Amino acid sequence: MSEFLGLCASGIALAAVLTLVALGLVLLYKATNVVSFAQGDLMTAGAYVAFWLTAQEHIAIVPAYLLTLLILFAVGVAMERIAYAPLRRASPIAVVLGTLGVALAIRSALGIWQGTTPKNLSSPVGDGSVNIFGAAVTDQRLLVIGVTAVIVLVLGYVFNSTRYGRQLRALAADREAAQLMGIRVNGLATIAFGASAALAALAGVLVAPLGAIDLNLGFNMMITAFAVAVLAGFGSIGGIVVSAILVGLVQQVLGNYVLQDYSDVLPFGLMLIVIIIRPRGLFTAMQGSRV
Amino acid sequence: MRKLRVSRGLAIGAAVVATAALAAGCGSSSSSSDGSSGSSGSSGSSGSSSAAKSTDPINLAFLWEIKGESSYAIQDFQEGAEIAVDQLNAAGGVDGRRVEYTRYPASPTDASQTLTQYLKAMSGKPSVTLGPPGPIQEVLTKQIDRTQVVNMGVSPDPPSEFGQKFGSKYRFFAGASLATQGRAAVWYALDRVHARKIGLIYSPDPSDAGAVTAIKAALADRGVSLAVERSVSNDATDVTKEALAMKGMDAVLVFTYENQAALAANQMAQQGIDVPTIGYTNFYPSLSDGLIKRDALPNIIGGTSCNLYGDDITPEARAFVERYKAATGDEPTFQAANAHDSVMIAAQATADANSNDGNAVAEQFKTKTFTGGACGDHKSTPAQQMSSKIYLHSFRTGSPTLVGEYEDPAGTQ
Amino acid sequence: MSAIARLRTAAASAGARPASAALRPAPYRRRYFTGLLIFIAVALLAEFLYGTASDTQHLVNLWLVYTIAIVGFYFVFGLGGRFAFCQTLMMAVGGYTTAYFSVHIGFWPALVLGVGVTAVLAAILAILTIRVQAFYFAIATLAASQIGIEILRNWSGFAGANGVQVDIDTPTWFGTELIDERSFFWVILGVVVLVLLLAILVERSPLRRNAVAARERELAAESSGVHAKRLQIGLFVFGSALGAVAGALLAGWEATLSPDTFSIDLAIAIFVGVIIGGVGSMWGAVVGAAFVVFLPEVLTGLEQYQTIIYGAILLGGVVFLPRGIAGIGNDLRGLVLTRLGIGGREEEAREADAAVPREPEPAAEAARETGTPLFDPRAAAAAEPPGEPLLDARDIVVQFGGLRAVDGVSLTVRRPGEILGVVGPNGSGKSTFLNAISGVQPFAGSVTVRGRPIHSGRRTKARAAGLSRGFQTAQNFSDLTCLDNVLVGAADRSMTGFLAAWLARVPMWRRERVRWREAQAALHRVGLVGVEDLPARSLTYGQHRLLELARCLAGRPEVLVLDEPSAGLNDAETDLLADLIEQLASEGLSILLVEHKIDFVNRLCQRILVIDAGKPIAEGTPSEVWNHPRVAAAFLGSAVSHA
Repeated sequence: MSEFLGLCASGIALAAVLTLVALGLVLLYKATNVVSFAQGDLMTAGAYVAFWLTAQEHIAIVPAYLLTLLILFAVGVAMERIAYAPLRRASPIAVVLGTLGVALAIRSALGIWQGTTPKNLSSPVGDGSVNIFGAAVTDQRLLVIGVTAVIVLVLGYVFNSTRYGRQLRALAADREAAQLMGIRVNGLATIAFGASAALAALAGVLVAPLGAIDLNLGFNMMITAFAVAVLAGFGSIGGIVVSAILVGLVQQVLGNYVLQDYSDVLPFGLMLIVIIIRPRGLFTAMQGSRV
Repeated sequence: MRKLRVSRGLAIGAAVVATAALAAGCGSSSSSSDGSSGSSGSSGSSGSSSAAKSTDPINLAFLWEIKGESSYAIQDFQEGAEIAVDQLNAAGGVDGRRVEYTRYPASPTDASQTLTQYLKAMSGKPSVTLGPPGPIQEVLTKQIDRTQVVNMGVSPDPPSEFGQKFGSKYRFFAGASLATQGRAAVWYALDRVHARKIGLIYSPDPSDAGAVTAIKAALADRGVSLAVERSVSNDATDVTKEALAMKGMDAVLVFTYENQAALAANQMAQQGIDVPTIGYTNFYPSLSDGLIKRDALPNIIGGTSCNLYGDDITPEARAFVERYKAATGDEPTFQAANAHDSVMIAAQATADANSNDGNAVAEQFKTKTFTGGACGDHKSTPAQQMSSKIYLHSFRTGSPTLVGEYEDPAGTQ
Repeated sequence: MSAIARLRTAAASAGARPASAALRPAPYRRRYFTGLLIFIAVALLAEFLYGTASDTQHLVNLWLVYTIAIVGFYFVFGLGGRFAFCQTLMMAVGGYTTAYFSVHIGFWPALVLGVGVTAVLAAILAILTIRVQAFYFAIATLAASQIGIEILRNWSGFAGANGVQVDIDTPTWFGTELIDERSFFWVILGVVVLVLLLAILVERSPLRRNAVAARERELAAESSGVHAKRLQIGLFVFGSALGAVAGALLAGWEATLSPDTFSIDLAIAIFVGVIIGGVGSMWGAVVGAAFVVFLPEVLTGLEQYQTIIYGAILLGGVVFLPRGIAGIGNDLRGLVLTRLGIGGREEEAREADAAVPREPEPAAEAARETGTPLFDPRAAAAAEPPGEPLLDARDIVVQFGGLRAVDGVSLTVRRPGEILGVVGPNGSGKSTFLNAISGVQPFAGSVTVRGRPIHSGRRTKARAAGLSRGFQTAQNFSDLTCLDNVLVGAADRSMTGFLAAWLARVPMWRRERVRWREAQAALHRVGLVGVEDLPARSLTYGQHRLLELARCLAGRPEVLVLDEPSAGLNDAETDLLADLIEQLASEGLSILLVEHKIDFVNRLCQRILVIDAGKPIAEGTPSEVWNHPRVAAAFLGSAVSHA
């Protein structure tokens, strides 16, 4: 039983991180129609920047983390200028290829900057753990879950109750109409790129203390986050959260009892089955904008 | 310094282009020589007169990437090998011959790319090739047999040992076999810890699979069997499942990559599984990279054939540690020391053979004892692994402290 | 010379062309076989001038092997339009299967087996995921690749420990072992030439235009009779099989396989190859493969910075070369030809926007001109048993969630040559009704064309039953020439598949000639003359309408359904269109016309059906209908445009 609970805890912590990455992916998709393959490497970059600020520049954790988010927001904006703005009218595959180019460049630059040996980012809440019904759950995992919950609530508010959120929803529902209504599509795209990079960085900063930072940290996580986004039909925040929990539990809990060697790809199997039966994902009905 | 190295690379690139252009110019003459066998050239160009000692530079090829070239690339091989080359040349070369090298970025994971780089290396006609690291070296076996150019592995790989599936009479390894590492871990678990229930966490890597085979055989010899075994993939970021499975063990053997080894140790400690956690060289980089949490440190036992830690080490090891620190600012790793010793062995064997002929060079590798290495003396075992001693360290204090030495009986047979 | 006058001249000369010399569509005139010879020459030059040592020979071989894989991906993505991430998986499956069986049955039989296994796998994957669109398809295939590679890593009995396979039988060729790079060069070159030949035969076949049409506008292609999904599955399987060939050759030649060879990096390289080479052309794949193999060689001097530079080049490539290197090549060729005064047909494209529709010519004249009757519904009508109505739609209901967009509309067209108008206020369900009866939109109720049923949501069935439709905004295929656009709608759909392209060239040619003539006649019929070779994207708005009409006519329909055909046309164009529709009707074609412009409807239609809120509210002659009180009420307040 304690084993099961321990697995559930790590599954839900994984789900929390996946939620952040997937939220970034979906936010960007809604604002720009781009599925970015750089999301994973932005996440890795966030972890490395946080490591640099805390371990090498010895800045206190909270300001360092905020600075990390700010830096990655700027990286995201720069990415919009370099890799998206010139490709606005290009085919989707060209844009995807552009984001892949950015991903490669980021990963390689990180390797040159910080080397390829794994790095350890210390947890802001220490290495302690809480005993929940006999299962030791580390404080960091609880932090990951807590922070993600807050972010989800904040984003939910922004989406539903602010001008920015309404514009974004209008844009996602019908780009042309939104443009005619006078929504500044380009400005929204810039913000979306920045915000989605910052979300990726947050995911990187939160997940790094659970393991180690290395150059492949984000890319693998991103591929799993794709599965989450597709399950959620690139749709509502609620759909993303539910899908992420599903994926996290499938990978951590189910992966422990059956198909142990394949636990990393179980989410893909799940996604493939869902997408074959429901080509638009599980939670499309919940979302306002159907294409 | 770095700038200089880049420009050297550019110069080499330019030279390759120029050579290709030249060769293209006189295509008829060069196409007649068999393109695929690089070794035939060794007798052609220079000192084929066998009695006279050659004064040509000793030409080595390094087959590894440096950081930035792929996400698995590490700097250690190049740093260690460069120190050896500089050291040898500063002493006037080996038998008066300068040591030169060219580095080819062979991928540690992509067979196709590694093969391409190996073929490029052959066009430089080296006497010995070093690398690539990891199981990928297996894919070169056929080529090595064909070119008959001696290859030195820079990381242990059981299937590549002589007599195994991908062994070659032209392939050697300066360190100890992973089978030896496995037996050392079993020895420690049984004779020092006196463990009855032993768990194993391993990666599906063929290298580690070789260690797993040796571990099981060594346990079977003592009438013990593994209580639990779990495999973790090389890019796993959460090993809670595997750590939980180790509950109730007296000792846990960890034969995975360094990230997963550190994760396993940390997560076991978090779950209150505080038993000796015995690995091999994997724990040392985890330690120096700071991946191991304080709670986990007392449990960890590492094992290496290169004793670079503490005060009680050989003068050669100390000298190497000093040089490495001076050059890079970091503590050297097993990989760096191993690459360092490999260069020294390769240069000495080439000079002693007085020929680039693969059979003559291989004979030197097989029969001689090479002294003065950072990891002690190197002498080939029947499996052509040139070390058979393992130093076991406890990580309790945060830096490796010697707690045992294991001499592999298989190495001295 | 004014534009109109020039067009008339063009028309005159077109009319003067002997009937037998029907114009070959552009793809059949491109010099593919010359291209193949040039490719062989370049490969030989590369091998004997550059490939002077085993490492450079290795690179040349790698180029050829990647060429196969990337040409394969061109079929999946360039022609099929499927953004698939699994070409590397297909290479791996082909490679590992070949490797595994080569030890037992020898290399070449194993290669055939490996390609077969891959094709079956690809077919299963395609059938399961073909409904999945765009990025979802990309991510689904990416997921499949991850799973497949993980299976190879774990299945050591099949793929070797951790997926590193070194047990591969050395291929032999008539007794000689292929061990050195040079001997393998000949074998790989042979395979590449064979593959390119197969590809060329597909390019020079009806399959190409149907595939481009399906890629660009699936709905319009399916309404024109193209089985888009079936075709894309075919292209996916063929492209994947080529990937398997590449993987198998890689296994035999390098004598080793590792899962990381087929990682995301290779997938990127394949995309790069197709994009940088040029998506629209199979030669782009050849150029792209060279780019992928030789660029890293050029960059080696940069050591650890090469990946950054590679990423930057990748980005720069897609930004600055949207049409790829092949695109630049085309531009250069065009430039040179212009300079030399050899005006290619492409040059006419620049004049195209000056072209205006010509007065339509009677069918008889068109038939005389081309030698084939365009369509003859009267003959068809005579053959049918009397009493079957031409179009019979009964109790059509279309439901969107809880909303009944069409609620029990029925209509019947009994007389050949009748023009029936369907009008109604905005949002009354007219277009939805059209979509339903033309099989685009699932519906309840029944539709028959002369007794032949049109099933709910089966798009290709409608055309086969004898119903052709135009769309509210003309749906043409902008990457195809005008002639190819019309050919996509050809009534005769035999000999348009892979087998015809490869194995039945002669009968295929025979059919094609007839189709060309018919397509040309259909273009002339609607008054588009001299535009055969122009890409459809260069047409004006009005011409697009006519081109779509020509495509509809090429389907030899008995019932033509037009959805607001006059929308966006100026008065002169509207008059020409009305003349054309009247003439088509006078020749016996029945037409169902949804329209907004009341004058237009009143002029053309003998009978009008009025729909409001999805329900029929009146039917009768124009004067009856417009005096109907419910009609007046329905239209009150909503804008009725008087053109």
